[in-house]
Amino acid sequence: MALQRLSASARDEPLSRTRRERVPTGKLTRWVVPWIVPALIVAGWWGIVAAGWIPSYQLPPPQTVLRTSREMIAQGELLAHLVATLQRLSWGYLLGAVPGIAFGTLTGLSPTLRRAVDPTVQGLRAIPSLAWVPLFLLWFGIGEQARVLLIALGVFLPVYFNVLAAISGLDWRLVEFAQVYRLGRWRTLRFVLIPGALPGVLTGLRAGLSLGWMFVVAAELIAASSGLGFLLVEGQSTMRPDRVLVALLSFGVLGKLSDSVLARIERVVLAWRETIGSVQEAEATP
Amino acid sequence: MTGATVRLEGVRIGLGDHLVLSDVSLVIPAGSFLAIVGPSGVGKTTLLRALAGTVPLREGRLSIERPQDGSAPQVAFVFQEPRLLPWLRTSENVALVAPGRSASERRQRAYAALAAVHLPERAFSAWPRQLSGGMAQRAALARALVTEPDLLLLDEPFSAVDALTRLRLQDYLLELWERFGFTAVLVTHDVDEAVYLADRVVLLGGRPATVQESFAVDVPRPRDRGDARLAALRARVLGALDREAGEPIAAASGQ
Ligand SMILES: Nc1ncnc2c1ncn2[C@@H]1O[C@H](COP(=O)(O)OP(=O)(O)OP(=O)(O)O)[C@@H](O)[C@H]1O
Ligand SMILES: [Mg+2]
Repeated sequence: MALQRLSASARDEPLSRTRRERVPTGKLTRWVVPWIVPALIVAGWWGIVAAGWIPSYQLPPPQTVLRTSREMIAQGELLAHLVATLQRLSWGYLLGAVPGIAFGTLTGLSPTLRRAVDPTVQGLRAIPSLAWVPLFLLWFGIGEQARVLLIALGVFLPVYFNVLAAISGLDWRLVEFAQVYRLGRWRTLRFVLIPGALPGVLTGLRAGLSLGWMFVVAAELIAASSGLGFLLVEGQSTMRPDRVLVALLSFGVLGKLSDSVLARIERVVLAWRETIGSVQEAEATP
Repeated sequence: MTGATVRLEGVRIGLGDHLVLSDVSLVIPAGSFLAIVGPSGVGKTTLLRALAGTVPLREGRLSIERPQDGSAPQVAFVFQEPRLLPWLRTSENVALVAPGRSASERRQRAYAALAAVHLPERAFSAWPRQLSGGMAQRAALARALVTEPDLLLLDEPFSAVDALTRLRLQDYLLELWERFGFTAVLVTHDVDEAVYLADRVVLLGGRPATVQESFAVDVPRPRDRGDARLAALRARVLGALDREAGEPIAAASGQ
């Protein structure tokens, strides 16, 4: 699409000139444009506080937040909280995603199991998953185990639903192909079922990750003595909005980073979906 | 591969509680080319799927035998749409079903098969969705051929390509059939295609469907598409098809 746009706008200009000039400008624009809005926000933020519209004990200016974060990094405090949060998230993610894939696959493959289990699960889905939190605290207490399980629950649901949809939505015609050509169980799994379900599974894993972050915050807000969520609560109770903001920004950066890792994996694994160009037919007479 | 002999005796096939085919009896000699025509929804695809072993028989007998020995015949299917796996490159799609001990041997065979259907070489490493309809269908034909089939089943394989490509693909198919000697069963809506390619054309009709008529195409190869005998046969097949499709009206006015 970008290619089309470029060639359309370049149509009335000499080709050689376009080639030489457009490319660097395009590159520069690509790198600069995304930063304009954040820059404006920071400038506005600074302006508002400097003008005294919002008192600085409620919204500290950017330079204070920067200083606080530098201090927290220097003391190793930020890293400790980061590690605590990431550790919880990783365990929760693992404990949620693996069963999510397993159960989603089983229910997707067996119609009987689907009829038995799926209506119930779909019903439970109507409950916003954060509403489970109090029950979880009742059952598992407020220890580390409870926090990890809570995150696992949040991750499990979207992974399960997406995997189930991916498996039951497999193209039966490709399965018939596998049957006719006698691919056998292993090769059918390896070359037909798994790649066919992969897009849905990856969508589920990404959705699971974003829910995982949500549940980390929930778990740490309620009961924790470490982690970025704890930093949020603590900053609030000690009237340190700068520390709250540092925690918020860390969540933002980590969330974005982890999602782009998955997005990158998706792009590599699903390269076959990304193709635009077609092979032109130039019929050579035999 | 020298072609399998196919025998169907009193075959009855149902899908769900719907009886599709009943009392179908046919003998397809080894190395011959059979075309099946019939109105839409009559059960042509169902019959091919039965030959491929993906639909069970309710009654009757089906045997597919290689004349020289009793070993299991190789059956390949070209579906109505190319049905390539979109996540494998074109040559990998073919190599996936190619016989051979090592990966490189299978790849070699895949290349040879793709060359045999005259696919341009730069399409070998393309993703299936980058191929044009005609190229994709050719790749599907290569995938069927690479298995060295004794019986090749084709379900309206060229119905989705343009007229010129279709003629070309028909000639490729004929060339490959003559070269490899497999038994071919082609389902088609195109009566010209049926009489040009086949040794025999059978008409499926009725409800549940059975073999209504059988036309021998006694025209030696290479055939000329403009041959008067083909044209005459085409008219007969079309007439029979028309009677079949318009059965209720014809019956009402005739009696
Ligand atoms: N899975 C199925 N379950 C029940 N009925 C089916 C199923 N598949 C096909 N049928 C029915 O079986 C009959 C024959 O279908 P089939 O696909 O063999 O027809 P066809 O002759 O190949 O038609 P076309 O020329 O349109 O491809 C149709 O009436 C169809 O509705
Ligand atoms: Mg059909």
